[in-house]
Amino acid sequence: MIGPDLVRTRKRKGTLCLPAMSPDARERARALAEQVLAVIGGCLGQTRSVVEEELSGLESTPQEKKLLSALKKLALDDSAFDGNAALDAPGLRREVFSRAALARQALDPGAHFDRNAVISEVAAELNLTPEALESGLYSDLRSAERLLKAPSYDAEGLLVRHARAEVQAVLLCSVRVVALVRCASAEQYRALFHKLKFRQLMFQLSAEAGGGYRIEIDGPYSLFESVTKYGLELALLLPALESCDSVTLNADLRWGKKREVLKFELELGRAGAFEPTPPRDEIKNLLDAFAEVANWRAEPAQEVLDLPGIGLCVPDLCFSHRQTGEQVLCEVLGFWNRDAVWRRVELVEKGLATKIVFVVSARLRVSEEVLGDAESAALYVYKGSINAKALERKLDTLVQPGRRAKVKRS
Amino acid sequence: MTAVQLRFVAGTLELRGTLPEGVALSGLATWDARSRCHRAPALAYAEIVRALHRAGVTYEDEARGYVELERGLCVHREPRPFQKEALTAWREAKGRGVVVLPTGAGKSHVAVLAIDDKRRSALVVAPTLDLVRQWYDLLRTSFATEVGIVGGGSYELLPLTVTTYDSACLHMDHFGARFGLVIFDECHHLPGPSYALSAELCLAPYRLGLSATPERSDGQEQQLSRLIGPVVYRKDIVELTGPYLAEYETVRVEVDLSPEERAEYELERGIYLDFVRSQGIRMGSARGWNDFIMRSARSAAGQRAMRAYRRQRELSLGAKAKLDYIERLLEAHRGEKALVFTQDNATAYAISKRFLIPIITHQTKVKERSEILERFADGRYRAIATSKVLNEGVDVPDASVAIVISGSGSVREHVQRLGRILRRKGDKFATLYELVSRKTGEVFTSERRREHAAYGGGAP
Repeated sequence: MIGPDLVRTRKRKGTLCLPAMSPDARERARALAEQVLAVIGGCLGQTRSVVEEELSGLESTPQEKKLLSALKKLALDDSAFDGNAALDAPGLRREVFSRAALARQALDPGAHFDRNAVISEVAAELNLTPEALESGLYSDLRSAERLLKAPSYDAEGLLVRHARAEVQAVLLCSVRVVALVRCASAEQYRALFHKLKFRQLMFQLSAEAGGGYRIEIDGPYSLFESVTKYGLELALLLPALESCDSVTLNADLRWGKKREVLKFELELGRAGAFEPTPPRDEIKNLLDAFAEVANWRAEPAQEVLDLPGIGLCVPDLCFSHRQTGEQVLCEVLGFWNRDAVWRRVELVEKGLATKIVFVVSARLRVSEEVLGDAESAALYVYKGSINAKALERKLDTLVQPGRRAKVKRS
Repeated sequence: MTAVQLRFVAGTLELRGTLPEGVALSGLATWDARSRCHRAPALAYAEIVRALHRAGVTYEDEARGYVELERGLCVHREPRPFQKEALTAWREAKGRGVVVLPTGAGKSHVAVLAIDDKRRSALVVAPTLDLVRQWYDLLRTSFATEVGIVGGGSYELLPLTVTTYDSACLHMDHFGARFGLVIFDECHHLPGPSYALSAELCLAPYRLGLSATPERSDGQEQQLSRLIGPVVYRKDIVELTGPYLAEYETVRVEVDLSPEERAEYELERGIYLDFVRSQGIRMGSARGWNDFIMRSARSAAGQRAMRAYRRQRELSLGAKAKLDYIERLLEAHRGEKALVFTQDNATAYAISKRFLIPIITHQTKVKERSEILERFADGRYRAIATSKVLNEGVDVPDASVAIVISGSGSVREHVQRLGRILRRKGDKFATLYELVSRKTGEVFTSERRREHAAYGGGAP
């Protein structure tokens, strides 16, 4: 990632823009990227300070200064360095500095401290040459780390990373993001919503008339003050947004040292094929466990349940009864967010008709009785880990006739 | 029946349930449509609880995560009169306020007394890892209990925990409910958008700020009143010198650049000044530096001027004659312990390498820092080179000589550096040497940073 100070920006009517590169500028950027990678590639085995010094020799116009600095930063971040572990540098320093302190204490009035004598004396005791001792004395510093591996991508790859890094650097200064998101599959939405939950961001969802969703994203404290505290999480959310088929992103920024209030707009679209993320451990365990269950078959759910004006949820699993074909969805809420449970309860209260089980940890201190009488939904509260047998009993209960559509609030 | 539930969520307080008729928390909590509850910054916890009490509202407090300490102080040291006065003043301000005492006067003992007084889980927030280590040792010894550390690769939360401002900023939304008392050491760091948030996200009803110099160049020290409490007690360096702090003198030594250095200095300074004049930039004005940065980035001549500025500064701050003079001072004070301060790490490393004295910078790992300070304390090391990490708070009781090779124009930094050698021990006499390159821009920088009563200059 790069800092906001390395982003090429332009301000226009209260909006921050990332200027597109002209074909010439793009060609020049590619040349700079090639030079950066060539310098790093040619410095294998050298210390970080040497690599950085070599990179500082690359020339650019004043207009390209930020671009070049950003390319260097990204390429260095993707390089592998190794500390010089051959010598125990702190141990060498201890020996040398202790001996020097004694030598200085023992000086006669008018006598001068003899640095080289101390170095030679300690080197001889450690079976080192004075030169080896000198070079090893500070060999554990970051600047003394040696370059083991240069980035594996080419100039084009570096420019792709740079484009993403610029957007992320802008989002670091964001206080709130509104994304209009469209995905072809529930799997994509699920991946996005899981990332939102994982990043512990607060979000409000509403369905868009023409399809897709509007997601307002910020954090708990955002209610009182526009803070950039959640900027890092918002920046780290970018790859998940990029996995959607199309995203229109609007961010409110506090830009620069003066925290200037600016807007930022961006259109994103997925470049390649969507790569589904592997299911979370608890979901994978359930899929495995239900492969052995006689009455129910489990598979990843494809639905997004939307109750207009109220909210939505994206179930994780769809259970199908092997004999009747009846389906019950399941969302595993885990143990992190009690509010999320109450939002699901509200969905049921307001008329969510699809049969669904919400799986919740006992650590959230929610009673199964909350949805005890609901016809279409149930809560399964587990202690420790999710028990497939207990979940199966909940599924059986939901397909039994005669459940009343009533919800209890504690 | 419980009318209201209070919960701590990510540095905020959620209030769920229905408030009885006539009870309003306006100004304290706001309706949050996202989660359909009232929400307040954790900072408002004490006020909200008081408001609910006053109104006779029954509430279930799931927010408070702090505990009473099992034991109080195990080592009882008679506080000095001014420390007693400071504690009394803080207590009278309902346990919320800032105590201003000069470096070396024993601010941390006031904090220890405050923890003992309130006997609640306490979090100490300090600016550097060196100070975290020092607080860790002090609390462990004073309360004879294990102490947690968050920061520098550790994450252990205990009823007594020490952390850095950076870690507090990152993690307060997770652990902000677990402490009843929060102590902000060197609290002048707190105002500012990022660090201030750590005080907002903490629900500790008791708050203590410690500083020798709460004033900030941006005037943001007024925020301390809201985030911690008002200044409840203040004593300045000149009031405590003698009985409680070591007597001292400050010596400014002007050195000449070598002929080669002078020639290069004049050349580079000329390039820098020509650019500044050609652009009409007034470096003495409030916007001068920002103008220079912006305009220097726009042209090749500007970039050259920036390089020239850096080089002439490097020449004046790191003049060869200064380094030669260090040798003389180290030999003259060979029976004493000395701290050598620089503006930048490169010079500190150059000094360490040339004089073979240990160095502490931000790159020095905690274990080696501890070892260096331990060896310095027991006399095996007689000098330490450092850039800025020892500026604040670190307790080096025996150090009596400070050699400032270079520094910024900050009055606070210069006073803090002096403070490092003022802790009283026997009839110790402290000396601060400030080495300045004659006829360079550094002379003005030096004059700016000496504008404090401690240097016979301006206001304390």
